[in-house]
Amino acid sequence: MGERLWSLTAAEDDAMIRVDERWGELLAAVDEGAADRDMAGEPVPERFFAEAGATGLLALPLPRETGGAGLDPVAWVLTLERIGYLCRDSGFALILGIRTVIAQMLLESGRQDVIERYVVPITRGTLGIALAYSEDADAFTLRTVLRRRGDGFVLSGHKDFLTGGYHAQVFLVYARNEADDMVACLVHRDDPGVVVTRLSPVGIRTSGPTALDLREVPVARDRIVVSVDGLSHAQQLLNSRRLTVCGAPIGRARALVELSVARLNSTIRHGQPLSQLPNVQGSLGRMYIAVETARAMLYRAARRVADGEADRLFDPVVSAAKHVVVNRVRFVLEEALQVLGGYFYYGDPYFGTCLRDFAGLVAFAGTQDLLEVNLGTMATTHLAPLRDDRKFSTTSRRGGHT
Amino acid sequence: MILRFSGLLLRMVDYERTVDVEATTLGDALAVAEARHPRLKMVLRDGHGQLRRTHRIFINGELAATAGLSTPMHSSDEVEFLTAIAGG
Repeated sequence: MGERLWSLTAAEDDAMIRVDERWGELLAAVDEGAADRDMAGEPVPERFFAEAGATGLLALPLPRETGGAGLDPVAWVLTLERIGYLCRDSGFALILGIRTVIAQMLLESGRQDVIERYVVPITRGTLGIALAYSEDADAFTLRTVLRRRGDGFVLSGHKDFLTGGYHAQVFLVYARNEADDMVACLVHRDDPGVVVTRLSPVGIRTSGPTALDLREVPVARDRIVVSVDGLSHAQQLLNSRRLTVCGAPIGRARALVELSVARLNSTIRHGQPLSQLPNVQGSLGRMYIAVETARAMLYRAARRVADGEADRLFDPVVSAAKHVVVNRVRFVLEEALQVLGGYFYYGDPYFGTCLRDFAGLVAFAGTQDLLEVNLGTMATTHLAPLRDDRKFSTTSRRGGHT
Repeated sequence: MILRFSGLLLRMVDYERTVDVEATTLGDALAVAEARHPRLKMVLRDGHGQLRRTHRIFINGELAATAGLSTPMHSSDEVEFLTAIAGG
């Protein structure tokens, strides 16, 4: 099964050719040590992000006026898909994605000092940044707290599960303030009271995940980038992240299908390649359908964002796309296990890496379970049976659209 | 008028799915509901007392994208709050 069977529009083809031409060498270098790093739980080296920044990869989705390439969300997810296809290091694409999402959110602050000090260096690959949102609490009872002290503030608390925390010199930290609102501030790794601890996750082991302890960390006023309703800010960031986490896994799933076909073509049973058995072909067909389903859903969600039609805080289609992509790439692996049997389990450790990596996707940017609940709650309101005079109404009397 | 709550907001109103209030604006209606269920305020409003952007408000079954605290209300109106919050 070559690239001819995958559906590729001209735009999709262009995006992939661009990645191959401009970053093929970098991705080959990242790919080369991926298996050993995964085995050892070693983070992908920072020098690869420096090169990604120097060659414009980290700035691709940023607007041109800030040094980016202004790539629209569709082209960006295609780029990430190609990265996933060419490079077996899940951590690389995951960190790439979260850094660009944070850079975009910081850019929206409109603050020139923030853009110059953080956004530009992030996109140039000279500054690592990580998101510090999750902790052992719900969104309304965060235990990480920002309190006033003198002319400034102090930050205390603990954050879990920071993707790329190992590489980060700066953390975007969400905390509760004294008014019980959520705020967001930038904390530097070398600020007094900052303690970074490496984690040993089940999968995506090269992503340098850490925890973050904040022990009375002094925070100057200008480090607060969101002073009101940080909850909505965080939800907007996570909504964007939902789209970016999906690209690379689809590329890897495509590569896995091709890897499975190659193995099944070369494995002889009863005098013929395994791939000639109807049940095996059925399984390959299901794998193909799963990948194309995931791609279709993701592109549709990305197009919706590109056209400005998506809800920026919690878009149902983006959320549904994340859910579908994660389910489908995990399904591809399950099918591969069925047809490859012992080879999958013992013959190539990469399958195990994918099993662990794809499992991690369940939790990123909202668990699958939580997305279902949110979408179901929305359905009960948006899809309620039409009543009386509202039967054919599409526009709210107060200006909103149904 | 009736305020309806669902999802995680239900916990904030002690699982009282609908709250009946007398008010002429959305802000007044919320103030009544918040007085009855104090935890609601922290969830619905930001530090400046404004409605958080993350909530969707439906008035009489239709998404009211521009609704705010000063939106006028009538006694027969039904307002529903929808909140979709996910972790990192």
